Amino acid sequence: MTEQFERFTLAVCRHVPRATGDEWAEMKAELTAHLEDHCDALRLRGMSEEAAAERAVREMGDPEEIGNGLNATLSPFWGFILRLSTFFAVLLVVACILPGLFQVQILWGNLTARFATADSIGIRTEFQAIASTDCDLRIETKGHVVRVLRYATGTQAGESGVSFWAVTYAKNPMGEGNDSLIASLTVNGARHTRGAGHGSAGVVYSTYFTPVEPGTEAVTLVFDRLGDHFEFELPLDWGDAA
Amino acid sequence: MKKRAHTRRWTALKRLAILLALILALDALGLYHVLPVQAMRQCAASAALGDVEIVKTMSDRRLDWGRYYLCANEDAVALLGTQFHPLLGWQRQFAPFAPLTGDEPVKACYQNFNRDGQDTSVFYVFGRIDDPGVKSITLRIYWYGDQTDVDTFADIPGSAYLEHGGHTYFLADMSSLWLQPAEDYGNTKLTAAGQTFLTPYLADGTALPEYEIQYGSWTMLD
Repeated sequence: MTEQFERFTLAVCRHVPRATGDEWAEMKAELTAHLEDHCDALRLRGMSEEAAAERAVREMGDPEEIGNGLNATLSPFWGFILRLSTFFAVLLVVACILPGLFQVQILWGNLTARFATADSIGIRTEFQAIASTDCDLRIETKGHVVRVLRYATGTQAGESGVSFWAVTYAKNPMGEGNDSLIASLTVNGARHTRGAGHGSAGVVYSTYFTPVEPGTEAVTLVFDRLGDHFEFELPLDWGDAA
Repeated sequence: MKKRAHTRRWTALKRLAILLALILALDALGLYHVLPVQAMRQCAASAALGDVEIVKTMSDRRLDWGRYYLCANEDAVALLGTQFHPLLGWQRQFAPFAPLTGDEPVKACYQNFNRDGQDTSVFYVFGRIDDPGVKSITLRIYWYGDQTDVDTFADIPGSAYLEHGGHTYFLADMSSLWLQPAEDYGNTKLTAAGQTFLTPYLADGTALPEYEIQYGSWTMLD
């Protein structure tokens, strides 16, 4: 019985070229259910299983005619839209696998930066610290954050000055950081002369050194960029070096 | 039969809605930009420019599948570059900008494109005129040569100026001004490009003091 139904439904589907795979499966299921119902009714009237199946198939009519009728109901326009949108959705998902992994890296770096301390920056420089002060100076500018986590008096390459440890990241956890923001920081009006940094696309960790006369009691750290202005007065400790 | 036709339309609309939702989600995550303007917004965000308004959109057949936006807000004027990648969609490319602070009558910035292995450069200069008296601008590039140094001059063409939001902006293709290092220029061989200078002119032809364009960017094309 099943074989007969299978042959019939396949013959119908062969004449429905507009159907998608899902639509074919749906049509096959509908036709089979219809045949089974009819077959059951004939068997209740006393026919054998074999004869009932044969008659049910015969009474369904010409498979080509049924197929052509079903084919005519399928709009080629909506079929085109269906295939096109499915194709692009699959393409988008596949295309985004690698960038997605990169984005996860950005997200992780960004979230880590929000809780970073000066010790976690881990940049080695030739700076010899005299006295360091941990802080959390927060500068929010145009969708980005600059956090100054530590400053220290000391010497680098024989020059006295102040070194800062900072991290920059985007406010949007999925956004890329901007490593040029550090360049907008000045100490007593002077830009840093030496710096080092590391980070991924999402976050930039850096240290930067600005020469300052030994014994200077305080410096003014200024961030000035595109209309955003921040000022911090930082007392300095020179220990015995003063 | 009617039910099937409805089902097909319904399924197609459902898939379309899924596709649109996917596009919006991927755009929000910064993963895939279907439109260049989406990449442009990401470009502005990465450059920490804040929200920008589009002043002019342009493309240049010498720059492959690029789409470029002259953008501005109250703090900066920028040329934001985006490029189409067949697999990755529209990607941000570069974001040179000039801050709109300072006393200069014209805020300007340049963008130079070089193609590896080819002797051509595409050189754009853009900016905003803040002195309403300024009616034209002349550019000068200073070149280092092995015998003598060389200057090249060109005026920003009138068609490059445009009004937007009560300000006058300009975006000019000044590639003709750009020479090639190693090129013979008179009796000297050029070794490198030096600085780019700008002279604003008033309507009566009076030249304001010349000054160097401090902001610019170089991009190497594949």
